[in-house]
Amino acid sequence: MTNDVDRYLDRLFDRLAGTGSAGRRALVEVEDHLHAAVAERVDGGMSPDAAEHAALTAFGDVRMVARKLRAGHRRERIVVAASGVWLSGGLACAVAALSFLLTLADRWWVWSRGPSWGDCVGGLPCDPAGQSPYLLGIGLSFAVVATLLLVGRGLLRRRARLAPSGRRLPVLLAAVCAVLTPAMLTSLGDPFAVNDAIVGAAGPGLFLTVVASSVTAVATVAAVVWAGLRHRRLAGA
Amino acid sequence: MDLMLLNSLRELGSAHGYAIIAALRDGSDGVFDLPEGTVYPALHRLERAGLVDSDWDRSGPRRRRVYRLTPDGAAALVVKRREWQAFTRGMRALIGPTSVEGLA
Repeated sequence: MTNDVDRYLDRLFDRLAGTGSAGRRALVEVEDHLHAAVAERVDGGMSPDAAEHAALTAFGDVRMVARKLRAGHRRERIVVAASGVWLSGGLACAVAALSFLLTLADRWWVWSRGPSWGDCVGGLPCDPAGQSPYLLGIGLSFAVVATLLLVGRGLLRRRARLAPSGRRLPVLLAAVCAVLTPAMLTSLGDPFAVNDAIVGAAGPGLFLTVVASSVTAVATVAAVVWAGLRHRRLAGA
Repeated sequence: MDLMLLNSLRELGSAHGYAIIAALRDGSDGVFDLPEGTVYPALHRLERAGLVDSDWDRSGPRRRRVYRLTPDGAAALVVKRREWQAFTRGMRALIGPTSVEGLA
């Protein structure tokens, strides 16, 4: 039996290519539905061929069904991607905020130890405390934006059921942070230029990128742990 | 469609797609004999919106996706029923009794 049903399912399978697990799930549901519909009609006295034909007619044209399933899948992908971009933006701002504020803390610590301590030696121009307003302004701005993005997303997820982030997002973030760590540490071969551009040439340099690379290293580990936890949760679902 | 599906799930408790469609057809005396293939995309959409929840039932010979109403879905059903009642009240007030006798 089920020659027509199998052909229908084959055509639906072809038309759902690229829809991943959502498409596979839909195929299983459609197959179950069609088998149940045929069995019910055969039990009601129809011939198997007539039952298949009637069941497929009642189910609807394969192109229409595939189009509706694909449309839902497409919308879902767009929403999940937007949700992931939103989360990534919030986390990037949080990393930047943490880098600036930790650098500020370091500058204050150096300043509190006196001008002859640490990096302020040998007659080099050194004004750790003078960099504070600049670092504080940028750090707080990033912190405010990160808070707005992350808290806003959390509220929307709870209240309006905003889509979760994509399944591969933690791995992607781990990879980006893993690349950023050495890139920040070396500033692509010229750490002084990057630091000078941000904290000014009067500062001793280096500190912001060293702190930022430490933050991205911690973020890499956090993203790897997140990816592992998510994988375990999905495997158990 | 959403109202009909949510209402069916409230009546059935939890059910797979075929049972929901049969309930819609039988419960409406055959009036809502929809193309059955349109029900699954609608159920998936309601699930994405958090109004229904689903799980695989592996107790039978074939695994089946079983749907049930979520608390959000139950709340949405109340709202949609109110909207529908307001709509039918308005239409009844507008066009009068539903009898078509004497209109021709």
